[in-house]
Amino acid sequence: MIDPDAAQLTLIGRTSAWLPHLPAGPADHGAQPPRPARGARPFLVSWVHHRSYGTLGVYLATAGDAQGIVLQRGQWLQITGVVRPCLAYALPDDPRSAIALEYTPLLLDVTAIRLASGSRRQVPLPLLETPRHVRVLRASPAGSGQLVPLARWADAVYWHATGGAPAVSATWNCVRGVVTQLGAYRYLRYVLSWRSPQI
Amino acid sequence: MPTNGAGQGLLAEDWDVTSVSAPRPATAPAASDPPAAPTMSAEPLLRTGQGLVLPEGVALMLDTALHGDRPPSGTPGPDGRPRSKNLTVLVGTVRVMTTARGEGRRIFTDLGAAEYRYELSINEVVGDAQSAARSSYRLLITMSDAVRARAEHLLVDGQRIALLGPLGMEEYYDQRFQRDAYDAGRRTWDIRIDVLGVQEIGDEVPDMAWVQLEGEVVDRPRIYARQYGDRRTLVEHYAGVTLRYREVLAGAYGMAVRPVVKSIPVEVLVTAGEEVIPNSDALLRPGNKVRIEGRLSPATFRLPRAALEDATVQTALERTRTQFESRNADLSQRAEAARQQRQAAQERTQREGRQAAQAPASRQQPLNADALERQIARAQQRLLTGRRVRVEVGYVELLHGTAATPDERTRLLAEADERRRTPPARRPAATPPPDSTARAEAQDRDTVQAMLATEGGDAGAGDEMPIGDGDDTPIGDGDDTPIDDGSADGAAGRPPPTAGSLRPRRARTPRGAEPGDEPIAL
Repeated sequence: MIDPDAAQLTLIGRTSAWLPHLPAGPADHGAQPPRPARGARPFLVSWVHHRSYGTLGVYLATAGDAQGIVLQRGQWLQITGVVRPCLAYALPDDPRSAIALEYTPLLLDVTAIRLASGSRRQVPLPLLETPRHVRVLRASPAGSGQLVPLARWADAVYWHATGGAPAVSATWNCVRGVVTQLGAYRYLRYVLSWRSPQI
Repeated sequence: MPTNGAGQGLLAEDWDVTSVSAPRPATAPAASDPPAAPTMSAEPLLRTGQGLVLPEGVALMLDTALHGDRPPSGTPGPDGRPRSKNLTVLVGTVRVMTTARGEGRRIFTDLGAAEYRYELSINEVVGDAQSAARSSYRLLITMSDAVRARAEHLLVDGQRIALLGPLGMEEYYDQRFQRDAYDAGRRTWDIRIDVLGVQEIGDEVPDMAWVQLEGEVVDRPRIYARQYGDRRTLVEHYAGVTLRYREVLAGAYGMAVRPVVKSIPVEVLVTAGEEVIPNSDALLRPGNKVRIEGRLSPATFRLPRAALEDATVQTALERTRTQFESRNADLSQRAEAARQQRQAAQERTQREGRQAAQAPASRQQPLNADALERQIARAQQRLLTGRRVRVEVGYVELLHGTAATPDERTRLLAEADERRRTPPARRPAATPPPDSTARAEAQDRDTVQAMLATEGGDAGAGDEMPIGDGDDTPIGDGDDTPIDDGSADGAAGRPPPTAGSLRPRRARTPRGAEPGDEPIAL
């Protein structure tokens, strides 16, 4: 049963291999590392990539939810899911969470999968149908003024293009994944922003 | 010089005594023109039955018992019949391994079956009318009681025989790594032939090890660099892959068949510039179904670095050091005692005014600290190396799939060279993670850069501007390449995960290109 109020997102891109990951418990707003979830069942995780939105982590409860599609590496898929950020124990080559190195941040709980054409290079930017609000914190004086940290999502920031960061909450309908290579690891950060829907 | 027909792709019919063309006697001179090189076309090679003759029993076995699985899994030969595959033919001189009492060495498997040990000396000459190469080695043969009972009259020292059967990886325990009297040792593996038949061979058939396999490449190639020459400056690269093959064998009675699934590591010579072995790029991509022919080749292997942290190996290394040190201490004690005896004898003779007799010096003198360390290091090195038979591919035929491109082959070799040149301590995985401040700064920088690029490209390209371009596209395959999750080793050829196979994966430790043992130059 899908919550009608949940933020649904549809994106098209190429996926990496779907590998089982063990979910972590809820993060404590980034102040403490997440704890392992007791009795959690592993889910299938893949990285969906397109140049328009970067790299997004999606997860699927079981392979049976793939709706008859044989999930493979390098497939073009149209994925619909609910934005439900969570952390999973990272495999060696997964991008890491900046708050805890042993975890990888995931974004989308997949609810529907369709095969997409492999030849399409121009895909629409995934936008939420209904804009959402997110609580933000005060930007760090040392950091960029356009990047605003979020109150309850440590692996994401809000991008305010015009400067003058919002005080309490911000509206967003677009999410991108930016991977930063630093040292031996790659770090994944989600960037929320507002983008006027194209008519 | 009789050769085993290398380069001509021997098939079952080459061995069949019922071949239409008359076999050439061994004493007849070879044709002056060299045999035609194998062609790259998809047409089946024209096989001529020249050169080789095997007894009728061998041909019968090749024709009837060892066809492997049927189409579509198997492939028919040029004559339309299913051809022999997953079959190895060894021709050599047998030697019976005996115990101290002169009895045949016999071991019992875990299932209670008796197996006998033999050694096959193979003096192989490969080549054509223009050039030839020779390799000699001995191969350990384990033969079951039933096969031995049929061919006991052939299994005597010095008898030339042909062994037929499929190859397989056999696990065994290396007793050098026993921790105590109740420990079996370190589990390792080797390639052994599962002998199905033994035939007598005349002198007209040269020694050989002819391997033919038909299966699927199941993992990414591991590049082995074999260094040789003066100061080992010359390097040849071999790509090692695992070939999984299936055989559906007919049962002794009734309609049921017995499926047998085995996997074998094979190696093929690769270079960046060209395919040395035609179609060898087909082996470099997982999921491809190939048919190969090759030969056995012994190689020296070193235990991988990860194995050095194993408690079993550490115990063996420490035991080696202890043995040398205690033996050296014993020698030192004896030498000191001998020296005191000599000194006492000299004093006694001086007191008595007699001529001192020359006391014999002890045979073995204790080593000094440096020499002792060198000996210990050499012994530990011997402990960490071993010899193992490998399958060297000489002919590849792509049955299903797509061969790797020359660029991919070049990239594989470049990555292997880079790994070889990089000392383990300086690998990126060994570097400590950066602190949170540097991490946040780098992330902020990349995020701002990516978002500014997006905002700036809105008017023109719209949604197609790259986000984090260059950061999250590790493979130079364009912008739509998915992130490399390390699953490339076998992910493409692996069946998709199912609900039943969902298990929490253990955190894998970063490893090099060689999951198995690392070869070193001979």
